[in-house]
Amino acid sequence: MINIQNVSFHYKKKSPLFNDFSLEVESGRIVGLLGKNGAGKSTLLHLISGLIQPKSGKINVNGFVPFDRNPNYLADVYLVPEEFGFPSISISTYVKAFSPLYPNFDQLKLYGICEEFELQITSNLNKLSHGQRKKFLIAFALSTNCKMLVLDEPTNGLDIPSKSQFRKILVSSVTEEQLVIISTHQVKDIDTVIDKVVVIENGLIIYQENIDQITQKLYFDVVPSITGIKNVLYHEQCPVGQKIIVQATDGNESSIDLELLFNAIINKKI
Amino acid sequence: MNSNKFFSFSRFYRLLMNDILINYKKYLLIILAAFIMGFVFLYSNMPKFAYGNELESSWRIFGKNDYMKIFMASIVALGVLVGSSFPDLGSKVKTTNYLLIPASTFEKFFSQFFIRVICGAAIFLVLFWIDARLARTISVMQMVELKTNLHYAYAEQVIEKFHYSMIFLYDNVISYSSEAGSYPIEKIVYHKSIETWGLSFCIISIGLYLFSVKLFFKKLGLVKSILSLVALFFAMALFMVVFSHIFYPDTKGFDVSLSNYTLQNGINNIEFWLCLIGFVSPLFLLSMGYFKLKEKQL
Repeated sequence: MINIQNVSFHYKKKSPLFNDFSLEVESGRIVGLLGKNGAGKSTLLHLISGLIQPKSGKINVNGFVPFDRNPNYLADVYLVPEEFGFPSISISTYVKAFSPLYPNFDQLKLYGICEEFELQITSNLNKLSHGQRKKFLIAFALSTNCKMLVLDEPTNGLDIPSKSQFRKILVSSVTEEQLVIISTHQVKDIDTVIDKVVVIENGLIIYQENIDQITQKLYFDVVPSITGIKNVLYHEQCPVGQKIIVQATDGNESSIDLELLFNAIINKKI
Repeated sequence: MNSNKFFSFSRFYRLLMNDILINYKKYLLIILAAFIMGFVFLYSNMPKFAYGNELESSWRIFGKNDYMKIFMASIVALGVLVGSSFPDLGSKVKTTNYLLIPASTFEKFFSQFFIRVICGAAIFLVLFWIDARLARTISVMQMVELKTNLHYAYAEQVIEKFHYSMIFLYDNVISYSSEAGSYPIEKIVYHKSIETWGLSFCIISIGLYLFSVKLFFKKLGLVKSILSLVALFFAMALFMVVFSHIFYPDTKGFDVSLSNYTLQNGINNIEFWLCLIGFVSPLFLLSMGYFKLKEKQL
């Protein structure tokens, strides 16, 4: 569980990024953290991971203060950063070196995911393509079985089949005790896996809602024209007409179009 | 207080194994390079020629002074190894990985200290000993072969057999009179206390300073550390000069006036003071380095 209370943060010689920021997220969820460039998504992930310290306010994750970097906390948090690097060793050596540091590490799970991602465990990590290395990092992160997984732009660099595999593997491997936070620009890549959306802009949460609540409140549709349709909250042109968001009525539910929702939120239509 | 969050043997062992599994090739290469360089350095400095059948006063004996000089020069190599501590704090990507490794700050700090300083120094001493013995054996054999008249037993006397008491029980010190008075600044560094305990502590201090370089400076660590070390020495010298002028008005120019007296059991007050500085500064540097790592942010 993440509990952030009145946190303020700014980088040296830069204007404040977060001012009196608060957020509460419970375990057993996959949270999509969305926002424009520079909104503070990665900074928030770094604050949660304990890589940076808030200037004021309190952060508590699973009973730990992240910046204390308590080893028991670090053993239960895994961050997949947007930019990453590996030592020049094979996958199997990497696993031998790092897996003992995570008490709940599941080696069979790792090899299973590697097989699905078509990764050879004998391959040298630095001889793999960026996408392959990213897939290995995701596989390793999921295999740690950490209570909190923090994924910063996890689908960047993945090809289309791998994105689909990623979604499938993520959903199948995350348990009720885990909390996964996914920060991404590529909202379409995660719209079928998340069950909570948090949108931040200028260091503030401008929207947070569970997916089931969104689908109860909003109806997503594609229509040839918006003429004659009442209560259109937001619409965008698409090749076959208009993508629209309207108020959901009579218990009608639709599948969520996260990109459309995000644009509507950013344009302050919702 | 839960001590497990500061130190756990099993976690420390796993952290060490992690480092060794990742860097073993690099460490083996360093050991091999140090062994070869040490041998070449010693061998090239050892005499290969000695004429005559008996011990002659004209022979240049390769002895403890020569070993000492080469040993001191070789310590630079150890300094480079120690100076390359915390290699994972060099870039943002590596720093992220390093800070999030599930181990306590103390374990991370101590693992580097253990590998670079403790194991580094131990391996350095072993390698230097092997190099010295090997270089001597080869040089002596060469000398006997090349100079047909030289008896093996005499050849062995041309190059003294190396043992560590030559280094650590170094008694050939330059001592100045123990009378109270004014010391030109250049004489301070030749004070006998500096040559013995003071020097050892200074080497340890510099080593620990190099050990913590990456924690203090993000970029151009080695250059900045050398510059700051020079600045630190100048500041200390200036500090002493200023105080000498305040408390001993007769002090001239940049001389340092020190009241010199025996404290107890023949320990000189200056010796005690220098040793104290040498002893305290490593402790200070270590604790400062630890807290720098603890407070390290991306």
